[in-house]
Amino acid sequence: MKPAPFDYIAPTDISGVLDAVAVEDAKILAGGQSLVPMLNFRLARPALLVDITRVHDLRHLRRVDGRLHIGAVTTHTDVEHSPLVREHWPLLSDAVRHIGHSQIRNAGTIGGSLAHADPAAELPAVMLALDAQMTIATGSGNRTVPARDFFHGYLQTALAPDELLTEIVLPHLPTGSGADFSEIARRSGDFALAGVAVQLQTSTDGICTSAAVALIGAGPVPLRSHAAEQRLIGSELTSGDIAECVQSACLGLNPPADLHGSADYRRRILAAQMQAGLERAAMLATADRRGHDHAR
Amino acid sequence: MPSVGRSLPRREDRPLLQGRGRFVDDIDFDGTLHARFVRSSVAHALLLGVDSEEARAVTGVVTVVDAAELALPPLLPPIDNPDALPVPRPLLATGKIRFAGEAVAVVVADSPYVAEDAAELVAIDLEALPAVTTTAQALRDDAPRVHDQPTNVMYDKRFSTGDELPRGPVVIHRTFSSSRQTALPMEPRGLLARPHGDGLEIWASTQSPHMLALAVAAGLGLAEDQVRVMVPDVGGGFGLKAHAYPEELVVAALARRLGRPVKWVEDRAENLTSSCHARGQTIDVTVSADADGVLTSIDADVVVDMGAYGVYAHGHLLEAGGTPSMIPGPYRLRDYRFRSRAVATTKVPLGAYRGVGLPVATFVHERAMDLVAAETGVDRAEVRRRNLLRADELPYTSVTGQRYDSGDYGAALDTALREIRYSAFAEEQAEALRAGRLLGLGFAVYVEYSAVGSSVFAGRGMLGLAGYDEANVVLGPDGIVRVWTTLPSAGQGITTTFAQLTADELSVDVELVEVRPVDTAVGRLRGNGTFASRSAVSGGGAIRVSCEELRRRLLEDAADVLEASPADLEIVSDAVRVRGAGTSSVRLVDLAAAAAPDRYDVVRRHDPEHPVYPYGAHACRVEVDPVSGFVRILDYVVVEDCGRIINPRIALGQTHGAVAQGIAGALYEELSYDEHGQLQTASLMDYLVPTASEVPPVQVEHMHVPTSASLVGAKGVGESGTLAPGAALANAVADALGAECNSTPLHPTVISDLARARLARTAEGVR
Repeated sequence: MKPAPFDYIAPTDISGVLDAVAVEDAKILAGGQSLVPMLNFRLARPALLVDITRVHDLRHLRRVDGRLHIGAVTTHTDVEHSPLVREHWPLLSDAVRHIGHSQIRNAGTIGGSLAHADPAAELPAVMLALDAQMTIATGSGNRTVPARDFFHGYLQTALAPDELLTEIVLPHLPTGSGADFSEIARRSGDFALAGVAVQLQTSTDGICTSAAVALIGAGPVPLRSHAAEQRLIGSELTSGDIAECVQSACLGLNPPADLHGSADYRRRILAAQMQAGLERAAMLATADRRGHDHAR
Repeated sequence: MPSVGRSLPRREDRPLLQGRGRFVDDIDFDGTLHARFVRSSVAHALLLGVDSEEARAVTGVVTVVDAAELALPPLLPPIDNPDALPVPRPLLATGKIRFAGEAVAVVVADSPYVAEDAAELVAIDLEALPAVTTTAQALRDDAPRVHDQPTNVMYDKRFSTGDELPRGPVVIHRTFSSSRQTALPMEPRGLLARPHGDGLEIWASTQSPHMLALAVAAGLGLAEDQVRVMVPDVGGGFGLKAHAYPEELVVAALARRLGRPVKWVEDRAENLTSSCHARGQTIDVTVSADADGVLTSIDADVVVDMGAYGVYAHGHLLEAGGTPSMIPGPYRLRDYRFRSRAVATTKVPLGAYRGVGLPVATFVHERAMDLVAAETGVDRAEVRRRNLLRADELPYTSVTGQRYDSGDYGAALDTALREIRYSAFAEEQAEALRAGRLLGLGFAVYVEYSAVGSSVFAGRGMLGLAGYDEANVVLGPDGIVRVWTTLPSAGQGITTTFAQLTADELSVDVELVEVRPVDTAVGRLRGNGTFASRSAVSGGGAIRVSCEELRRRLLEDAADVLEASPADLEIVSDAVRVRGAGTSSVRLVDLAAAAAPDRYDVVRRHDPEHPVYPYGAHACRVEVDPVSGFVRILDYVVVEDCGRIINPRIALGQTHGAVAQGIAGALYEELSYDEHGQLQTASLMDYLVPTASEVPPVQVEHMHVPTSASLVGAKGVGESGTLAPGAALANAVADALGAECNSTPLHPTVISDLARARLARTAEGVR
């Protein structure tokens, strides 16, 4: 359980990284919490590892014009302990605490998790639910890819081998929003059997104006449940509304089966989590609205 | 002040917690070479050839050796049992591959990294054969044969108290099963061998150093005193390191041939696919009882999935021998029949793991008790009370010849029931159910044999196990009492508890006692090693008889100095003095300085005549999540009798750890194979070892009914905690679901289906 031989380089700026990954068979090392086990099992055998954790420009959490900018090598722990994230993007804050164990969160990075794109991981679903924008550095300048176009397949993303995910940008969430994150794993810190990330937006009269329901472990990529979302928008988010939406949303799901659970089993978990998650998020959206009204 | 009975801090802890532990992999000599085994990725195949040319060409590779080049005889566990076929195990696969993970060749290089890289380049030429992955498949007439025998049944034992067993009126027939688990010590196996004179010095992570030394000597054609085994820190064994493995002999042989130190430390992937597995049983049981729930007979058909080979020196009889002998459990039973078979499959060989066979036996008799209760309508606690042997019936020789020495099984059960608040539970459960919550309560009573001596091993035909242990107690010229035994410290805390025992046996300060790491060259000791909860009983016994002799010599010599009768003398802390007379004394250090060499160097043996029988009861409350099928343990109570407790904190730690491993087997851990014989749970991502987050607080209550079967009064505490969790949790979950749970681990998908069915029934009942 040692990696096959590889070369190693640790550039300190983005252009250094881009130069390095232009070489064939290079692989970016961002925190190593998935890549290093894959190297040790010799499932990944890159010729060159490009360690980006020394690129200081890639580690930041900033609020600019209401939007959150997260540098790609910002650690899960950085996010977990950020009051800024806690206050304005509670969905992200809640989700990050479910990632592995604290040792893993200390080393693992936001960009690393997204670029790895495990469908059972927390962050891909959260970014989908929050409509994040991925900033990607290429040899010919930056490009931006919305989260919904970023995840292509099992461990597959929009990133080309010679590109670097540099930053994730989360949009501003207006008053009247409510979020919930839940997942079920066999053991504390395991990858989830299934999970649900919910971000709701309500109007002053309590009507749902936008809804994002993202599912973990429901397919080869994290999924948005458009069926659920369409039924929620325009509803008052009563338990009945939610139950109806969950029922229709789960009909179309075809989650994977493995040693730890059948497709049916995962579908049931997803349904229960969706129901509970939407109910909690609806309550929080109402509370958020009231809190705001009181403040005025 | 006596030191036995006090929670002295473990002497092992400070160095380990400060990173000063010294394990096999921490030991290095100039020029040490590193071995990496090339393992088969295929479960069953004809081995046509090994091509190592490319690997040999790698810079840093010293040699690559396959079976032909090794040319050593197979490991053949010395088993003399008419019910067993011999199962020789080649050191490196020869002619045939019998499990995925079996070593086929070994690469030796000047670094472990080079060795691992080169091992990938060794090409194995093979012709795949159909895998044999279940005992049901292996038992079919047309099944491929794993060994060169007409059958895959490598052990077949029948036992019956009579031609016809009394049956009924209540007859319950069920199949129980227990999946494969493995010990998973934090430190995997490892061995470093260095040529020394015309022999070898070996540092090994092992529980059985003296057995290992003999196995290496025999395997390599050396004299016994040419092989010296030393045991540095050991990061857990739990039975897995109670065996001598082919890899260990290969590494020893390489060191001799190459004339250089050779080290091998397995990684976690190897640990899961080539160290021994355990459990892996299917048991068909017919239990008969009268209308009052009193047992009338048990008929059991035990089938053990032994994997491709046995282990050295226990062979393949561990589970298949242990389980049926204890299926009667702590109950009064006169009519019993069993058949027990160990069936070869193309899977990792089965070996020892904490509890060996007894957790499965407990699962069988405790599930059966709940089923008898359900069938007769007698309360499940009351059914047990009617069948449990009473304290005044002990000692009692069970129908399988086990001599239960002492105890009060009913008191253990009643204490557990009181602590788990059994009488109040039915109402709480009903109320919770009305609110859609599934609560369950379960309990299990167990009895275990520990500290097996030479006569019992001989009776089983296990000729390679000493059964006895020895101690060498030496008072040095510096006034320090040093203790060597045949039982290595592998996490059980015996560096501490043996010091406590020695101190009290000699009446000296515990600070004057040093328990040394095991070294087979010291004192020419012979003995068994540490497994089967034997250290306190067998090692403690050896320490006691050694100390008695040392004390006798000390008093005799002091009597000369003090001009008193030995009978009037006593040892107090660091001196011998005349009883009652305050001033007349001689210090131990002065006696030691004046003594002839070896005068205070005593070796004695203890060979337990009978096993000792720790027992107890576990009880728990659980809540089942109907969606996920996860089982949350709300309360867990252990009531147990491990005899006289040497160090309460260590006994508690042993019980906590054992219960955690029992919970692991009940709810989490399973080694599952696909139809090709590939282990599907070959990493810690999929083999679900519970963490501190999954293990609940465990309340432990001790009982103590004295036994005459143990010289030091201890009954053994290492394994008992693993026996009952599977049964207690399955009973609790069955209680919550109103459905049977007859196999472990309890799968969330299955539990979730049963839970929803339970809630649906309840809803219908309400309507």
